[in-house]
Amino acid sequence: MFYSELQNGQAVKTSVENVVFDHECDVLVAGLGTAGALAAVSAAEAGASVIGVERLKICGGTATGGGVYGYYYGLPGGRFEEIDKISVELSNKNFVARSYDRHPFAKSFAIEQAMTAAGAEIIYEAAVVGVYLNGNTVCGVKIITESGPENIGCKALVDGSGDGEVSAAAGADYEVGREIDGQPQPFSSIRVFANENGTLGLANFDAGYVLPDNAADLTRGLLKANALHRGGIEKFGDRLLWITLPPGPREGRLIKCDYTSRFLDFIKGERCQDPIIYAHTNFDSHTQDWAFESNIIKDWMVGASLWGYVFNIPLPAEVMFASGLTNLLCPGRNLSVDHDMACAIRMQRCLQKLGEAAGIIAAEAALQAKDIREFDRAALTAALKKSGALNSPDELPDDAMATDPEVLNEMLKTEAPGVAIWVTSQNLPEYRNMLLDGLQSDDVHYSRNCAMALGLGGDDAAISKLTEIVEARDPFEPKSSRSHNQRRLLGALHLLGQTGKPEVIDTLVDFLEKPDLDMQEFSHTMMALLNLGDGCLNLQTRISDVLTSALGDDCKEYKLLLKNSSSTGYRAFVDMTEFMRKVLKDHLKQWSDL
Amino acid sequence: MKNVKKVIIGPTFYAAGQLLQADNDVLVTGRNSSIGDEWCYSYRNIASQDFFPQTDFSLQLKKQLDGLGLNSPGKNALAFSVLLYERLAENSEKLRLWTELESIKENADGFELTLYTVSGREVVQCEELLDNTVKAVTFPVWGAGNIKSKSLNMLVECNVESVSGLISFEGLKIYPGRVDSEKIVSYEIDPDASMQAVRAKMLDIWQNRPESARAWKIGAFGSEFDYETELDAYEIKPNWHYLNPLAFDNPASAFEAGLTGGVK
Repeated sequence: MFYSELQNGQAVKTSVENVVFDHECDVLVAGLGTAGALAAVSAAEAGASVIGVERLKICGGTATGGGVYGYYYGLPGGRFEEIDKISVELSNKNFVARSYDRHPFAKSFAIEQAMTAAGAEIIYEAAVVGVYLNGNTVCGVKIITESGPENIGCKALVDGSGDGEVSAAAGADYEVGREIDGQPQPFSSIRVFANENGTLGLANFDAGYVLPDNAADLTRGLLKANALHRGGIEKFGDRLLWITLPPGPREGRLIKCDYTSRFLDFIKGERCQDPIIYAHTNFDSHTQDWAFESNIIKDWMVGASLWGYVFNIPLPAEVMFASGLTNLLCPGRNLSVDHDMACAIRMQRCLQKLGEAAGIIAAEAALQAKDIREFDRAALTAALKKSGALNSPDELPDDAMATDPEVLNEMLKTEAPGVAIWVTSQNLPEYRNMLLDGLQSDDVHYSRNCAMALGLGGDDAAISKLTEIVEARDPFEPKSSRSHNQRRLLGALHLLGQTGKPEVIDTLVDFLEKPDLDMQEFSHTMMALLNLGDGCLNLQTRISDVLTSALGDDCKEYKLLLKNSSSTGYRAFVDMTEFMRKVLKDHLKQWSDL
Repeated sequence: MKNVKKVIIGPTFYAAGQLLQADNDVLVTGRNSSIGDEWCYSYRNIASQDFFPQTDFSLQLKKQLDGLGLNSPGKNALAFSVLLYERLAENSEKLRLWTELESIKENADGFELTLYTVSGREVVQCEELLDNTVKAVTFPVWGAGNIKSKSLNMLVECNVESVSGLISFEGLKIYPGRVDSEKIVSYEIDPDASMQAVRAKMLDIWQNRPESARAWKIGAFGSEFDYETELDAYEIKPNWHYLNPLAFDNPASAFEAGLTGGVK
């Protein structure tokens, strides 16, 4: 047997013998948050003996201690609905709440009730810190309680830690954050207060960047985040109830599983064949420094301004099966998605459904002493359909984009051209002539949108019009999305950088040298130039000189305004100047190394 | 291995004061994701609001509280904590939140602590150790015996007119909250009682509350228990002390004691 734990962020395995387990169970759930709590309930209801280990003294995660008691998208249906119903009933009679609210403590109570009724045991104030393995099978965990360390034997393990530290401790592979700097999305902080009218209030805002797998950075981030509530106590200081009890990262370790849901694959039309649930949401990234995200995200978000477009994402069971391990499931936001898709697949309804499915699979594997991959697919599907967690395809909201050329052509003339830009750009042979005609139009707005579509499709015919957009510093902001619409100017900068054509450099350099660029304008121009230089070696010296000068010691500070959902209107900024210098330095080093 | 002169177990208000003492080579560590939970989330009924600043920083804090109309630091523990975070963030290297303590080993140089953070196992060597948790988690058997009473509190919103005459029922005691419409409802329990069991019991009682309190609604349960202890300070071993973080008039005075002094 091996004992595996994290040391300096890396899993370290040591051989151990004669391990005595203080407790035994079929299924151990590490972390009773959004997904873990439902996994514990469903595993216990499927007949397994279950122990749930939770660091806090409240279960339910973001929806309870985290204070986010409302849903953001996701499709109704699943085991959580009954829990929610009880929560609402309890809230109505006993808690500060509107008639339809699930007060966080009421929901936690309803979860506890469901777990207890099914025979599951909860250990609060404890955390899993290590994993025992027989070969590639988890056979137990080490937890730290207030009384000290204990070992618990188990036949299947559900990692409900959210940030994936339990899977990482077991030696599972994982990714963190975006490619350029490993940075996950900004994390949130929340305060909950009692309104004078007897309802519960919530302020939820982005609190900065943090590396949730780095202890020092997590502490720094939590302290900075809590400091931002200074703006809130002026109004609600004597009515504050709590500030989020669990830390609020939106994205942590993304564990490598048998199936990985990737945003690029999804928007190219790839779908899994055997879904057990459907996520239903928009690409809800909270990132604001879009220039440093992947090109596909820039295409979607900046080029087409489609942040708010809502779609259905089928997910198979295998998205939770930690690769290389026979009995470890990851149903929380540590499931197997890439950084881009992590923006979309993290919502509460979705994770509760995955938790429900994970519990059923874990129970089956534990009770029948088999690999989680041998689960009875038909039985699982039937169970999830019965609970409502799995919809039939015909029950799903329509998420198809328009394809009719006439419709798309008209859309390109409107203030919300995003879908038309996207669809035509991704199917350029079909729509190219229509776009070329539009490019010649006297309607400036229409012709520029056609250029954006051609540019996204990689068509050089767009270059002169994209140049015109940049030179005009086009302020148009499409209305394609509910919010987070991106200026057409930024999209044009991004697309010019993608062209690989040396002649666009003068446009980009001229623009960079404007004295009053904001953070978005500067960062997109910088990344466009670096992209251009990647393909045009003879431009690298000039680009290097221009950008090094622009980010010199005496340059202005470029501050990023984080997404703000706070009712107080408090604005949180991150100084990006030093970060951009580092990005530039690293990129220039890549060029010199080559 | 990290070496510091002193480790404080428990990110309390007292520990926050110690952390902000200039030149104090200290590491504060604890399981929670915030500081001062022993006051902020026990929703403790605090009689004394006295706060006598002895440092410029504390004086600024007091002025800020007064300026916000929150001049009762005992009642406004959570608001008070928010005012500290900016300074704490500047000293974040002295703090490890969301951290588990596995073991303490004595050695010739003092104490070797094994911690678990989100980065994994971390060993810290120190000369002095202060257990600043109410329950004395580093010396739990003694700590359990030191608990004189244990309660769980909840914050309740009520319409003011319904308060008169209702002092307590079914073991729930009611105290004034921060504003007229808020009450602290307290339930004393057995020291061994679990949070899950106590919350369930309190909710059960609450669901059968008197008609006069029918409109009262729970804002929040405490996520920390409220304790009274037999001893507030104790020498566990040489250079290894216990200090009850609730052994002060209010959160501000706890912070001030940490900022200006050592273990008494």
